[in-house]
Amino acid sequence: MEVPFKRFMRNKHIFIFIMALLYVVLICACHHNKSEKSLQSEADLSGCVIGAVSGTSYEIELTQRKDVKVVRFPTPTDCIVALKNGRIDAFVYDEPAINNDVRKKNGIKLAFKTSKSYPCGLAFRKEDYALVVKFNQFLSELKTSGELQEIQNKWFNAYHYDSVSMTTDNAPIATDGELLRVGTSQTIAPISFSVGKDWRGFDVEIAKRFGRYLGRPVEISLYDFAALAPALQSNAIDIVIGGVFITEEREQLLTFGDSHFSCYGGFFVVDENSQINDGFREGLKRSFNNNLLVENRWEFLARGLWVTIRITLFSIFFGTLLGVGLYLMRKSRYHWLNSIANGYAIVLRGIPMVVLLMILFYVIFTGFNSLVVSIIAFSMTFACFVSSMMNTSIQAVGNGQNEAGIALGFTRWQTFRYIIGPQALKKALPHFKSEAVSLIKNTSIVGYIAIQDLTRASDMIRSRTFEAFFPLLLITLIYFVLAWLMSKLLDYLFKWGTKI
Amino acid sequence: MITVQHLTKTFVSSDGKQLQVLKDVNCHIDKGEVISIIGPSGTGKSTFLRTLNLLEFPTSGEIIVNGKNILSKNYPLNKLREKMGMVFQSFNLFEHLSVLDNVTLAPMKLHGLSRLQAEKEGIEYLRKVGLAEKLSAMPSQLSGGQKQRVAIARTLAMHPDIILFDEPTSALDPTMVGEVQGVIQSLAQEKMTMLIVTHEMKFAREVSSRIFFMYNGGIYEDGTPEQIFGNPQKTETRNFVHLIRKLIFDIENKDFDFYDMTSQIKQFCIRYAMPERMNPITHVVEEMLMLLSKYENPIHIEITYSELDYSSMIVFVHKGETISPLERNDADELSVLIIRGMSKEIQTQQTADGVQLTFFME
Repeated sequence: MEVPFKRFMRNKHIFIFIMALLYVVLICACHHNKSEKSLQSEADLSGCVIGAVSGTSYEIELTQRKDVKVVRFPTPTDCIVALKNGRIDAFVYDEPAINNDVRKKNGIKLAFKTSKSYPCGLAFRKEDYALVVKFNQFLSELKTSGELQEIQNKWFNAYHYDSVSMTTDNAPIATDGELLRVGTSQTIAPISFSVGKDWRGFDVEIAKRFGRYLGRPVEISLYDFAALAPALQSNAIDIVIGGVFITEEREQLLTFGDSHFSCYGGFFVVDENSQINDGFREGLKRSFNNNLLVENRWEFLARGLWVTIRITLFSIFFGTLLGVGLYLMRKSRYHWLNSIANGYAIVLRGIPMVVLLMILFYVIFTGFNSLVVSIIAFSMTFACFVSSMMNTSIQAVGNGQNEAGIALGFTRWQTFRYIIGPQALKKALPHFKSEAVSLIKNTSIVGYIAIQDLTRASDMIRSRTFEAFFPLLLITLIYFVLAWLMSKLLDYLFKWGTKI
Repeated sequence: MITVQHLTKTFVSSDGKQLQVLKDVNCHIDKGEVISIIGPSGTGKSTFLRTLNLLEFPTSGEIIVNGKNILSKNYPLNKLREKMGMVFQSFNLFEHLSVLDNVTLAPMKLHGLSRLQAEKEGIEYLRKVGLAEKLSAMPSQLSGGQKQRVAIARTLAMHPDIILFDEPTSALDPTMVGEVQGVIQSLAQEKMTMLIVTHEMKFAREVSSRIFFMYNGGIYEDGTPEQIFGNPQKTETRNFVHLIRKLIFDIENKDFDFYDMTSQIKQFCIRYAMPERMNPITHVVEEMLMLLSKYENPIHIEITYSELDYSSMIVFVHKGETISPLERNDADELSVLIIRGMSKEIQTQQTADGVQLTFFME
């Protein structure tokens, strides 16, 4: 892939043209429109294709209806995209989360609200009974004083969420108490969302007030929805927030505090009357502004990029060291060392990266920083690759030259250093480069263990702006540049390494 | 200089099978000797050479170099190998280094020579093997013969006391054998101590001061070239130096596959380029079997051919008998006539096994 890649990069105009073309095609695809049915109530859904975010109560309930085809998406942003290009007739999500601003910008409207409301609450570990009792006490005080209603009104009636101030903003932060670790999977206003480094929103304010009530500092981290329950059970966090519906099924695993608000679902359809015809230039300008400049959202990308770079570089470094160790074990004259190395390779080869990451984070290295755990996980798999790459490239040099070196009086190490190594390195470099480049992209799954890397940063921007493609194209471009820089860096290191 | 005593080497394959390659090797090598090691394939010539600088560790025995057992613990093996050069069948040049760098690498790294000094010396050695003008070429640009000469220069640059050659010309085109042999010959004139495993009999005879004939995992016969080639003491040695090829049949009873045997004889004759002898040999064998078909005793047949003097003969052993079938009263006269007509000379001999007839062919 090296040659076409370089040629491609060299011609900037072609590159920019293709990226722009891609953008236009995707924008056009977004505006393709199909739905004509008018939906008034849940009965009208019969025969429709409905989008839902997987794991939500809406999805579970709709799935039980035989007359509706349910299409599952990971985020409401994806639902909006699918709705706009006609893949689905409507989608269902928390009504307050898709606020007027979002509806207007995306040309969608509320068809109707769900007939029933869903109680939401904060989730706690089963054994953590004392904390639940304290929370219920805190909540009832908040209710009786009318403050809860006040907070609720403040958030749910707001138009610009970033201008809503949190009552905890200027309050002194408790520093001496034990850290109260809070996990959320929501990055959608007004429940819980981040502005720069700060977390804001209705649930966030409740959690922060609760922390102040307990005299404990609060730390909020972002998890994948599916990873919240294991994080809670493995003691990585103490409380789950983010508009979690209280369901019987969830109550078997977790304990919920009293419900602090109830939420209606909303079915959203395309608004035929809306007119968003900015033209390409205007659209691009608006996207650029919304996704990068407003609330300094580019900071998400910058921080995510830095995380991705750190994970990649450290994993390559430690993975290579570990890989060399593995190779030496494989070639050791002690049989038990060979067995360990082979066993390690066989086991790791069979485990999907996501599963390995989850096992390491939630089971094995429970007390560790998630960044460290992800570096461990990627180093472990990279080491497997490095040891097998070393094996093939050293074998390719051949044993004859090794013997010739030994026969001249070189030690095994000297023979490797002066004769076998430089040649093996040359043979290994292309493979190493492509593996390192694909490692950059593979790190995008670290979102599973609450790391906000580059991909996760684009997800966060998407869930604020509800724009489907601009953030994705942006990170594609960044990954592209990263890959190019990586191959340049390795070329440089290789030149430096082969100088005798 | 080097004394080898009761050296054995057994290879154990991964499935646990054992193969004893060296059974009991004893020898003594003095300074200034040029020794060629000859013998059939698979008799451990190369393995023996490789045990001397411990590229292969012997299973048992002793190798004493300048009075010290190199198999003892803490023996400075790398220092030994610096003084014991080795030239391989497959050259094994360092592919990533130029010709000159191939020669200078070890003196620079192991003897601490400066690049300038090492290159000056290296060029001298390259000149000696006739390749000074190729000093900046890469190994892949050289012919086989040139590669092997660079390998010799690389070895010489370490000032070895002895050089081990492991079939130095076996991987070469016939046209390039001469240039490598020439270099080795000039080294012999300078009294370099050398041990050469080779299949080139003529070369071995010309260059060596001594010959080891290895057979069946040991040094079977040891002597000057005149002794080994002119007057070998043992049958196996003679067979080998006379380049004798053999085809052997053991007939236990009358049910053996006669057609398979005649086809093997034909193939044997064609392989050693004597198709004109195909008919006489098959006729003699056929008629002899006719004569012997009356008897139940097992028969041993050896057809031999010498590539040195192109002579061939057939040996028949009729086991447990004392009288030659040709001299029996009831022998078929026509068969006897054909046999006598086809062979140049017939010798009859009484051996422990039975009566032995040797037919010399035209």
